[in-house]
Formats: sequence, structure tokens, C-alpha cells
Amino acid sequence: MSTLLERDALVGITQDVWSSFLGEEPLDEAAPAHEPPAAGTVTTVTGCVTIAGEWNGSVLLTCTEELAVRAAAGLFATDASDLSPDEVTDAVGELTNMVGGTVKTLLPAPSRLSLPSVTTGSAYSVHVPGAALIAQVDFAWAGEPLSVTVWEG
Amino acid sequence: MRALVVDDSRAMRAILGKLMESHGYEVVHAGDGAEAIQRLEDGPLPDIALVDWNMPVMDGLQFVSTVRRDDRWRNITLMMVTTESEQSQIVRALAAGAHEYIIKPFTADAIADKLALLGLSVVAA
Repeated sequence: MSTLLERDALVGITQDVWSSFLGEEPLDEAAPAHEPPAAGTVTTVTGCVTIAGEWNGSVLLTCTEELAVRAAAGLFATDASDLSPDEVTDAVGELTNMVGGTVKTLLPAPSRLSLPSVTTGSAYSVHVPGAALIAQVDFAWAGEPLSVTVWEG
Repeated sequence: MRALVVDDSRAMRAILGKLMESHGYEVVHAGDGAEAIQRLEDGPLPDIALVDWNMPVMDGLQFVSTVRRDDRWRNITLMMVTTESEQSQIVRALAAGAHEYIIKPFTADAIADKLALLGLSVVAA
């Protein structure tokens, strides 16, 4: 992978965002899953921000719906049962915004950060045509997986 | 004391709202700069506005510039709360009229320190 963005930096950035707002349970690095869940079996949520300018690419944050709901409950300081789907989406979008925004500071400037987009489903994949994966870190939080990837191009 | 929280993220509005309430502020919210301007038009005026940068409709920089151009709102303290951390962006925001700048992710202590720096602490941190 590219050395433009060090893996440890991506780990630190994501953990800093988590500890700032969701610090009761640590975000730990985890081994990546050997096999993705079979399509349609697990609902996942993917947040995406794009960076455009001196450097062009995307930062994606992918997690299970269960993790997304738990994170949203933390950000909104409420019970998971009180959350609307829009609030869960919003929470993932904001976490992606903060991770992506901090990643941007380590990349060539000046560049602009897009507003986040969030996808939820059980049988989708996200592809940025022509983009190359330059960094990936897998985490586990409260027993649920979280993946952060950075794509250039 | 009254605070206006301007951010397109409901989660961030909830976080900042609770933080400001813990400092003794009454909090009103807006989801973008245009909605925030309407809040100012409708009154009552806030003592401080915490403003995200990247928002739809009207972004934070445009909001700051608009507020600074209007003499009715000259006493409102403007603090950017944003992921934009490039030096040039910070300079742009301060040149547009922001009084302070805090970068996401932030801690509760960082917000408290900024309020103290601005002389806007209501409840001791």
C-alpha cells in the first residue's frame, strides 16, 4: 500500500474520534474478517466522504448496523430504542466526517472535504472507479466490526 | 446566556447542545447557515454561535461573513467548530470574522477552555 498515509496514523485518528465521543468502550484493532458475511445476512452501514483538490480520494467507514446503532446511541446520549433510522445514519455520517476530515490534514493540501453520504443495506458493495486502496484498518467495538479504508483516485 | 449551534449533523448538534447546556446556556439549533440566519432574524439573539464549516445551503464561512456584515449582530461571538484544520482555512475563518476556532474531534475540556478564553463561562468548568 501507499506510504502517503501511514496505517498507524489511520488507527490513531479513528481511535481519537471514538474516544472523544464514544470513549466508554475502547475501539480496538482487530484482524480483518477472512470472509465477508454472505450477502443479505448482515445489515451494514457505510459512511463516505470524498476529498478533492491537491489530493483526490475517499474515506469510507463501514460497520454493522448494530455498531452503528450503538454509536448513535452514544452520540445522542440516548437508548438505542429511542433512535430513528435517520439519527443512526446521521451519526455514521458525522463519525465519517470527523475521521475523513482528520485524514485530510495528513494529505497534500489544499483540498476540500465533501459532505458525508451514508448507505445502509445487506447486499451492496461500494466501489470508487479507478481508485486504489492506500490504507485499511479493521477494528472491533463492543464485539462488532468496523473497517476504515482510504482510497486514492 | 444563549447559544446557537449550527451544524448539519443532528448528532453534533446534540453533543454541542448538551455541552453548552452543561455550561448554563440555553441552546437553540440550526441545520445550516441559512436556517441560522433565520434564527437571528427571529430572535432573541444568542451570545455565542458555534458554527460548523461544511454544511449545505449556506456553509459556516458564509454564515460568519453574513453575520459580520450586519450591525444588528455585532455582539454575537462566533466560534467555528469544524474538521477543517488547514492553516489557510483557519486564517480565512478568522479573517471573515470568527472569534475562535476549534477542530473536531474535540473534548469537553477544549470547549470549556474556549468559553473561558472568550469570557463566556457561565458555570465553572
